[in-house]
Amino acid sequence: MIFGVFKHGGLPEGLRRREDVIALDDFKSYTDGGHCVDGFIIAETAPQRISTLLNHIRKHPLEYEKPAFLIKHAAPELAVLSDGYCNTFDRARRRTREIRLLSAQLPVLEKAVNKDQRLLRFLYTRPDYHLRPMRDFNHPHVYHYPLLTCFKDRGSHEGAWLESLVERKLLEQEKLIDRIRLCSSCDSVYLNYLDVCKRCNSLSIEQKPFIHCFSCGHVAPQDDFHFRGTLTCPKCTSRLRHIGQDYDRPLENYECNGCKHVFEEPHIVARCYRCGSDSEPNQLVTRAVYTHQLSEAGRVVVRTGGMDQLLAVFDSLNYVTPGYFNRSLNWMLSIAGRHRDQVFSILGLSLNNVDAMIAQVGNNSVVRMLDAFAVRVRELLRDTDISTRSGDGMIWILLPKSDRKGCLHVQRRLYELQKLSQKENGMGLSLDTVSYTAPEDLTKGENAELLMAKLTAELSHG
Amino acid sequence: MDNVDQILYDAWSVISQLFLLPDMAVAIQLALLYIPFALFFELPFYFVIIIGVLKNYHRRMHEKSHVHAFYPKISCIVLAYREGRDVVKSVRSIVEQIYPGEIEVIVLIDGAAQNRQTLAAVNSLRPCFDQYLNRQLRVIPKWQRGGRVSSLNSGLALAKGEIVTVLDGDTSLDNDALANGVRHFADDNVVGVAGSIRVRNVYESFLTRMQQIEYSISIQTGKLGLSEFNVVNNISGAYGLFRKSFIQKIGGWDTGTAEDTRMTFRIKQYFGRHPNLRIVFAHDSVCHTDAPSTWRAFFDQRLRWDGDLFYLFVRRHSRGIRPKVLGWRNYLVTLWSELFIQIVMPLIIILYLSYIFIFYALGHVIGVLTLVYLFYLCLPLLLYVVYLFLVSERVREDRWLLCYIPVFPIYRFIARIWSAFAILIEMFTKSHQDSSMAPWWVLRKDK
Repeated sequence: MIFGVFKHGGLPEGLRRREDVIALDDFKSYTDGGHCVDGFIIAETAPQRISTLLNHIRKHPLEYEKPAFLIKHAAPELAVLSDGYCNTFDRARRRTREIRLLSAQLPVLEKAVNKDQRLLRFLYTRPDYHLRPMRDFNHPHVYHYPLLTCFKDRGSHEGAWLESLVERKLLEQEKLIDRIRLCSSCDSVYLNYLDVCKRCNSLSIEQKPFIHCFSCGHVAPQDDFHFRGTLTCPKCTSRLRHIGQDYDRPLENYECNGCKHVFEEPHIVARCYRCGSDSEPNQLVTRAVYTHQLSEAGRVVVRTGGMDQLLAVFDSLNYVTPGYFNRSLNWMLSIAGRHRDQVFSILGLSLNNVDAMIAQVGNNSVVRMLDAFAVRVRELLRDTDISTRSGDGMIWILLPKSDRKGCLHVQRRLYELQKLSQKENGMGLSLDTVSYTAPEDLTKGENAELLMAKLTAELSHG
Repeated sequence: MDNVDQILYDAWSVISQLFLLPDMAVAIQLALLYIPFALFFELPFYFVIIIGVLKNYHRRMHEKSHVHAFYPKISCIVLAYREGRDVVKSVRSIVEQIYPGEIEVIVLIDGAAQNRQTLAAVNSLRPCFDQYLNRQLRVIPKWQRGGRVSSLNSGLALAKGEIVTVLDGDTSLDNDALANGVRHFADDNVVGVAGSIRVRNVYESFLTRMQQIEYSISIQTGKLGLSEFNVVNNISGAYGLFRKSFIQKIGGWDTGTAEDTRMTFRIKQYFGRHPNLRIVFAHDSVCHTDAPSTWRAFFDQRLRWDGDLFYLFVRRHSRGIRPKVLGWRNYLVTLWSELFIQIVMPLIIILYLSYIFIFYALGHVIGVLTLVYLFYLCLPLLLYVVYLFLVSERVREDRWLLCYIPVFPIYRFIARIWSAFAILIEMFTKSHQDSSMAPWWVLRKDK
């Protein structure tokens, strides 16, 4: 096991002699030197150098997954990109071995891996790693995730990416750290909450003690009532002697110095320090800040190379979104309910041994196999057929103007194609299908959602 | 019919005889019957008062209006017990004072373990104090009940102000009350200031209106007149101001009933040796208190008050009523107003009534009582008019009570009969050693 040790100005004598250590000056010297190491040890102390090196490692398309250790405690925003502190080679070796063992479980990917895969693989190989938000005053949202910053593509939005990862259930939210409010026009978090006059929006307002005269109802600042050491109403000239009997304290206790308006509660606006725009507090964009970790679904996806991505090859079959598919289906169901001559069929198919196939023959050959299968299915369908995918790896095809006979024909051909795809050793895709034909199978009051749920259940239980 | 005619005729003859005086003998006889008590004792007393009020008014008119740059720190001892939310009114009215100096509010909650609601109400006021400058709140929950005097003395021990104000938990102040009260302490000889008391619930019932008239006459007008001669009879327990150093020197309040009258009397006992010391009545330092609105509650209150008087002046402090101790002026006024008008007069009235009912015809009795009524109508009417013109700070609100004056003598008559009853009870049962104002284990210590 060989470690690349970064130390500006060379290593001490003791280390230089070791065979499992390669002295590195900076990251460029490593990539240019054509070395191959199992992990990195950053023996630097300057935070700037540590940060640069860690960023280089994590951004590198091949080296990002390798462990990188620090030898001294560093600030959390630096440590978050490293694999922690290792003061002995033994510890570094042990930790590296753990990461490599987990990495070996994953499919071998080519160089052009996307940011999702990079992040998920990184998290998979470090099971106790939590994606923690770091507070950075210079960052427009204050909170950011340094690891995401390293892995994201140039120009892509870190927040949107994280949201999409959570939406796809690849990451799960753990602990709510904070809730931030962003400017509604420029998304900046640097807001100033101002209390202003309700009428003229002036900043110049003052909180004063006010008095409400019972005899004439006059409300004014207390100063207006002072008259020769007594409280006297400036409007009706009654002497105000006793609180609760002659006067009381009104709820209004603000006065605008500009328009002299008197009010109870000032109006609050959030003024953005970046773009200068004013927003109502309820117009501000609220965002919750969580720590995240790899979800169980994410673990499966990273191990199988991404079921979702594998099945994407079927999107060449006149793919529509599930929402659009459901709307079309609803429309057709309602026509079939009215006109008995409206005929259509739905065919659902599920490939249920993709995981096992990947484990046996590898990710790439499974992709090739699926691609070939999809091409053939496409030949089988008409141009007017539409398809969609539901999240659980099922593919749905809507066949308009196909009666049961036509539908069964397609179904039969699918099984033939499946047989064709089988290899000599008997290995091949295993297929389950379900079919539905209207108006024969139509029941009263059916809608697309109910029908799809029913068919999904049928398909998943074989 | 004849019988009624005879009665009416007798009554008229009595009345007409007094005014027309055709027969001197009958007139003298009648005069001898009731005039001594009224004319010789009550009239001069009220005459003194009216002189005092006029003197005070004259002084006020010629007083140079100047800014009193005398703003010592005031400690307000608020005695709370079972008032609940009412105590909030009291404390808020102190916070609201137009007084530029510091005011420290010490709320003592007697038996706080039982009176949790009062405690909670006081604590809810804390945020209110942050909004005002120079106002501090201290809440002292006395878990074990100790009575009014124990609260007063603990408040006195804790007070940091130069002037100590005592206020009941169910009374509230006008916003200039403390400023007007404290002003008098600029004179170093002033050791106590009695505040003016108004009935807060004056609109509640007939009885509360009667009490407001009574307070206007006997407290506002009466004490103001007496104050001019430095003979104020009482600094009320509902609201009074004291110079802290002085009452600390004399050892604070005594345990037992009527602690306010006792305190006033004990202060006065220094007047013989220190004739410069003064107790002032500040008619413009007004507090508002709830008066009993039902006859039952009213009788209960008066039974306590009037019995207390007898207990104090006859049983406890009779040896202190000497000109050497009190000074001649206060000695006479105490004898006169406290002993005679308050204690002896009610008893004489009972004897007098019994006498004329037994020895005179009904017609004569009615005639005599009508005359008595007329006398007691004119006297309060005069005093109330004096009050309206020279004393009242709320003339517009007090004016309408004039139309209640015709029934006021009847109220006073009932009150006096009841007073006699209270004094008789105290004479024979000595029950005023016990008081509902403190638990028995405290009263036991009273010597």
